[in-house]
Amino acid sequence: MLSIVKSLALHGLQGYLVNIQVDISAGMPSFEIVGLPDTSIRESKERVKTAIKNSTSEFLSRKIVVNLAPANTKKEGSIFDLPIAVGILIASGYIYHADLTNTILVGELSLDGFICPIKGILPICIEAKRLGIKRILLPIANAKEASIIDGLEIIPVSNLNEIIDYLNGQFLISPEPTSHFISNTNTTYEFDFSEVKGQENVKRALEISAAGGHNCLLIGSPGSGKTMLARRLPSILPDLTFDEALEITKIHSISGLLSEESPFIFKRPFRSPHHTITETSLVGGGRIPKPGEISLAHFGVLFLDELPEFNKSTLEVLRGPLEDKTVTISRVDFSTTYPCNFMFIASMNPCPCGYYGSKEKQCTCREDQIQKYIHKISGPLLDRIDIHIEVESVNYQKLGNDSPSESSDEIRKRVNKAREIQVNRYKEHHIFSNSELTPKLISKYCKLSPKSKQILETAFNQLGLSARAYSRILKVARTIADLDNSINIKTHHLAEAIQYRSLDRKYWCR
Amino acid sequence: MYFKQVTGKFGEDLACEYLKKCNYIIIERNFSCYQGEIDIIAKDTSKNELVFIEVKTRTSFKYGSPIDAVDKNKQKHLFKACEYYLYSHNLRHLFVRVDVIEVFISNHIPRIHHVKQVF
Repeated sequence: MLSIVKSLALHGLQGYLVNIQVDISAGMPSFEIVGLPDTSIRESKERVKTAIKNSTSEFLSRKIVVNLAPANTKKEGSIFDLPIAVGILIASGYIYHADLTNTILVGELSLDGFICPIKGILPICIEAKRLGIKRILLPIANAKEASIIDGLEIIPVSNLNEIIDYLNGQFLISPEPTSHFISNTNTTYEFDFSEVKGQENVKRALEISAAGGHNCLLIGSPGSGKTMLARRLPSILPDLTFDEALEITKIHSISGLLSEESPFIFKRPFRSPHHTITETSLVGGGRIPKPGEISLAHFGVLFLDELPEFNKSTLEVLRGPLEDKTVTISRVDFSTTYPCNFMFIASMNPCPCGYYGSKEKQCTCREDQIQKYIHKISGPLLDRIDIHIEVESVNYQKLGNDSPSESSDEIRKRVNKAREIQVNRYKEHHIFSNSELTPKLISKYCKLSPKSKQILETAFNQLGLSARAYSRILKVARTIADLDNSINIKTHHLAEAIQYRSLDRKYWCR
Repeated sequence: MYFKQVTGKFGEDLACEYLKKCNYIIIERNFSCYQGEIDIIAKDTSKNELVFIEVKTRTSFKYGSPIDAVDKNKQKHLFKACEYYLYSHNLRHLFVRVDVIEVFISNHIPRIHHVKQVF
């Protein structure tokens, strides 16, 4: 007897339906799975066999052929365990009147018939809905994560016996109710900006980059507080919108980083990989490409501490993603595109000893050493960083000062306000922040007065700016204007934006 | 006849008795062909399956339990012999099962262990 059960496989974030065809016939007993399965699917044979044996039904001694159609694409993962088992049970007559039209099944089986949670349930549900699926049977541990999707009947199942009874109509499982996304506005943060004494100019720069999603480079001597400031950045990041949260959760879902207790991500991610990171783990990769750190930092922050210590080739791979906000990883079989719209924050010392340009201490480095150190950061990468800011050492008066500085909550209020303006303004363009503006949108939304144009022209010629720097200055100026709640970009907004670009002349263009 | 053969024959007879008690119909015994030998071919009436049975008899556990002797190599031969039987008797439309029956004899008391569906 033949049975066909549907399931869904993912290529990156793209899903496609997989028909699991099971044929049971007479002849010498055997169990074959065809249709380009990988090792984990091949191994599912034993799991399926034992799970059925340990359920109320019996694994009959038959010639069983399982085909995963379309047969020309490679399939991986243990999510086909459940549909294969159900297919066999239907073909051998233990499940007799199952209506599985517009229904997909996903789940991994354990030997006792229990259905284990799987990775990537959220993108699976989103794609299933897109492909016109009405009902999904999934592991009970994944139900909470999937319940965020409405318009899809989510049936949580815990073991094989339950599913047999459910499909035979002898047992009723009520669909998981759609849970509503509650924005966690009262999230507590480990660190707060009020703990940082002084450094008002750096805080301002970080506020601007948080408000507009701009990239930022902090340069300063050791102990000046670069890392301390960057660590406090998550506490002033704007709250997530539903669409943003959904996309972040999707990426974390396929990486298997969600737990049953926290199936949804409310906070912007803050990723700070160590400088020994490889290119593949940064941008993503593997035989079947997995998202890397830049994709995990989507709509959040990628913080690279001690930037020159990173492998040069590792840093250079960031060039494309920083500009395109997506990364396409190509492999022999297929290529996958992951979004990576992240805020790039980096910190570095100005020279090997760390005190070049410091007011307190004499730099002991030779000129060529400084040059070698500083040129580990290439021009093209530097050009993609909108805000360069020098972090100077704090003097004793400020450190000893007990009056508290501004707290993160106050800063976040301003950031949220500025972000709200942006989201409303770019509603029809499906972007969220100023940093995502395309050249066409820049000319629409970043109009300058004649006087501002003149200032920009002078800066362009004197600082030797690139065309990219020009558009990035406009974007930053737009954010500063938004923080000021100003509709037009005024001269002082532009001037502030330009001065964040002038630092590279001090270090790089000597 | 050597002692080993006598033991084997005795075990197979016992297995046959046991199968008859379990409502199996014995179709053939000691079917042998180029591919190998099948000890008992029977019909499981309750499940409507043709059952090929390999009987292993032991008088001590010195060399492991009887079923351990049905190793990969033996399974291969058994499988091929079964395939040949189905082919030669034109029975490929039947549901098929392969079992192993362990017979263990100690102090003249035989014990039978029926292992179903070894493939």
